Amino acid sequence: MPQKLKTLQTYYEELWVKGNLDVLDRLFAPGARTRGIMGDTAFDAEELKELVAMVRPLLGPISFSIPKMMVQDDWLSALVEIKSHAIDNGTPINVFNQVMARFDEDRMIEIYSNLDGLTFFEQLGLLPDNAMAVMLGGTRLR
Amino acid sequence: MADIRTLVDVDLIEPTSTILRRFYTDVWEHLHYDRIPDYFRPDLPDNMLIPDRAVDPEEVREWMQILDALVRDKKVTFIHSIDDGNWCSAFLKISCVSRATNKPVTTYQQILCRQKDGLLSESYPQFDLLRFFEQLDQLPESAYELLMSGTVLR
Repeated sequence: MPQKLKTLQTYYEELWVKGNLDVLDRLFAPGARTRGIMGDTAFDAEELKELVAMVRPLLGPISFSIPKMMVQDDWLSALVEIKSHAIDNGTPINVFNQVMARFDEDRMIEIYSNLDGLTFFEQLGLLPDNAMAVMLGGTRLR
Repeated sequence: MADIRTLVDVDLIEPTSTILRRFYTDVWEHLHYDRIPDYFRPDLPDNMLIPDRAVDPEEVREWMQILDALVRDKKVTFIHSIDDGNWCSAFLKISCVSRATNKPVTTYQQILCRQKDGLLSESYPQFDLLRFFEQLDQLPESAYELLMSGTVLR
């Protein structure tokens, strides 16, 4: 297995599935930042650990698969499917995440992640059903 | 038997990212919606990675018109793209202006797509709608933080 894919799999398996926060130090190069998990905000390793600790309790057991990944030079891109359920009401969670990451040798240094956040929060019951259609129709939720 | 999805077209006329860049310029920036069919020819569902998630080209024009009702002056910047055989993955910045407030809006999209014979045979865009609606004032500021901490917005 290519090392970059292995790093990405470890990121999801250890950090998100198992909640092993310390693994980030092996996966992120010093100074690494990830963007897109929460809009435009950039997270360093320590901030990401806090985020993981905040989000995992909202979810039941997490599983993931990587239907497609591509590598070119220092970059990796992957389509990741994430499954779980909302801990509150048991609603199934099934969202896709697209990630593009630049590597510094075996560790990631620059990560762009696009999660289908609208669907994720809809499935968690925090946004209305059919949130996308509702909002494209101009509804304000605030 | 070889997985058809991994078979690489050795005779690509041009990289998939080149087709994709032209599509965004032509359709997203210059609003040539009559040319949308020139970019897509969906493969058979059995040949697709995730058939029920792939873009239906018939819906692209409708999606663009919905966007146009909300924003104007769309500008698409390719921040980074990767070509790998027939496949391309791209990370894009989309700048535009809210029609309601005239405020600038910046959001991001990642798209994964494959070409076959010079046309997009399947594509999977991921548009950061939360960030988009936040800037259109349809969601509160810091919507991600609020939602991550369990705030109900409905």
